[in-house]
Amino acid sequence: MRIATAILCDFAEVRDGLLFVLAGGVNRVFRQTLPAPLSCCLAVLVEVDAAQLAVPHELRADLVGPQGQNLAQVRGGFQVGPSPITDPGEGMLIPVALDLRNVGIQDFGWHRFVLSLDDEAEPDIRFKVALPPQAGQPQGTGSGRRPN
Amino acid sequence: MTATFTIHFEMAETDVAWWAETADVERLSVAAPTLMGLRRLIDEAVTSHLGRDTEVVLILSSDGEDTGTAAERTPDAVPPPRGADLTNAFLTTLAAA
Repeated sequence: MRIATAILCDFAEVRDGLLFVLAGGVNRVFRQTLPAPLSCCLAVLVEVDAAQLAVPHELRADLVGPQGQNLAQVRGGFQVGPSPITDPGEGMLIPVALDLRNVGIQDFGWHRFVLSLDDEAEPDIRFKVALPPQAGQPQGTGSGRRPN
Repeated sequence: MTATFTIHFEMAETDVAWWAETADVERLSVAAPTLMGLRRLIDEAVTSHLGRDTEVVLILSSDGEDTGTAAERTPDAVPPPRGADLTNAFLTTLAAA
């Protein structure tokens, strides 16, 4: 079992067993003043092997600020029932959407989501909270900005 | 023999707790701060009370806070060619500073 995908995004939801992601790949959150709401969601796909489908699993996500402070904790469990569309022995992708839009951001700097599945650490998701770029300053492309 | 446990998730002010109940073992109460810890305690309790040959079935209760992560299916929904059927989920944000 592992996290196949974890993306910070403007919005995410699960519908019909699929993960819908809006404006994914955020790695910059621009705020003029702090504290401010994060206004982002975390879209996660968990890959579960066939042998692990029948038992409940725990997903954890801790948001850690620049000084190492814990800003938010998400704890949850999931269990997968039998599916009519999977083959025997086939694992599953479990879509999870974590709504973190109301989480408070206190400081500028690098933040990270520390993720774990059943107490096993998964790769962190990092993003930076920064002041908005000055007017007229080149902003480049493809840097995953979230402007408001 | 089979021992079936229903697993619950409870949120306190600063922490969460997992706990399990069963009708197959009298006066057995199990709780832990993590789901893996709870599963270990259940295995130990079942081995102690019912023996090593007992099959353990764990069922996650859906009585937690609904955060909209459960897949919704309507009669007209077409089964997705790819994806999963999420039968139980409860995800809670705690202690936003």
